[in-house]
Amino acid sequence: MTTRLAPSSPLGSPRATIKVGLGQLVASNERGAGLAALGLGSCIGIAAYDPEARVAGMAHVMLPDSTLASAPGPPGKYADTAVPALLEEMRRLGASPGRLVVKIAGGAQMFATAGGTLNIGARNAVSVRAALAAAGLRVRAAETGGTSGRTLELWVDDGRTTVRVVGRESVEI
Amino acid sequence: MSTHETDGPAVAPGALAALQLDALREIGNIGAGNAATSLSQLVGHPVGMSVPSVRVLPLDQVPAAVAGSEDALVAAIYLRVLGDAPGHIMFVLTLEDARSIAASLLGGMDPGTRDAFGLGEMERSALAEVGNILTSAYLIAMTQFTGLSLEPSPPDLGVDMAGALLGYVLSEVALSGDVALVIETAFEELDEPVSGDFLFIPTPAGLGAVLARLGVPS
Repeated sequence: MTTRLAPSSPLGSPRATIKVGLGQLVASNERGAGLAALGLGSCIGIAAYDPEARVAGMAHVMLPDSTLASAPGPPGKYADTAVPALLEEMRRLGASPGRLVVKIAGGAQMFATAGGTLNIGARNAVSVRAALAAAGLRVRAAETGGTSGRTLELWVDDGRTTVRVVGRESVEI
Repeated sequence: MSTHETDGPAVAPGALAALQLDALREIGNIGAGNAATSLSQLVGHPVGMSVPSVRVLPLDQVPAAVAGSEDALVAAIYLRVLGDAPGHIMFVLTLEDARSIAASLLGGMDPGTRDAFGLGEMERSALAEVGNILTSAYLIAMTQFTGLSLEPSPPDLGVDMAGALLGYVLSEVALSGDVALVIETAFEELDEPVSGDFLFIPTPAGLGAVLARLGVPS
């Protein structure tokens, strides 16, 4: 079973890889499935896995803080709302927060000069870590910062988590 | 920054009526026409353009709608629009087309130290300049038509996955809603098989200002 909290997109047809788009979060215990956040720039992908229940969850966080925004939007959009919502979706599939292995990737600065002083990527990384800590979760591995986009993937069967950067092989984190 | 008084209230892209979308398409057409002329002078070939499309898209669908997939490798030149109608402009090309335009602009000049994507320093600045010229021409036409004062920021070139580059703009758009108004024009060099997508994404405040000046406020 796969549950998805999405802003707008309908559920795609079932496929081996389940895309987690901007602002979305997905939990799954479907055998053989993978969750993927493609092309994370300043966004942060959170990959969470319960190895005992074999439940995987992923969020594609766009912004650090829901209180900054004039529009509420789906919970996956903000660090502070994505973490509790992701835990809830995973819990529904039988995951236990105490067993979760959490890894994060993203938070890059894609444009150096035109962006002005607001480095959303760095702020996203700080806020995601804070939200995870507030939920009692430790970050086991992180690939954040820098100036390159990343694709984060997580497999339901074994919790294998990889990060891919353009022009390089994907690496396990 | 603004030299005018506030032009109408901010407008959420999701609330736009057909008449307003038509007006925005027309202004995209005027901007892009001027931009195509400037680009053809720069490259020395005739440049064609598509009829601009005006789409209100959920944020998570924008990268795939523009580039085919979130992880498609693209070159994108980003400029922030400052002034009375703030917004974002991005010129998106495939890496091959970016390389080919850059090489033709340099016309045999030394491209300089090449980056991981095979683009020389000089080629990168030539591409940034293409974005700058297109954007300036686009904004000048918009200014002439609406009287709004609009200035581009310096251009910034990124080569990476489309989702990562567009996500930068979309995160800002996400602060005020879950959909983006995307005014998109495809440019095509008529003598060469290269093309690029020019995107204008106004903020809700910018959208309100433009619509008020076009006489179709909400």
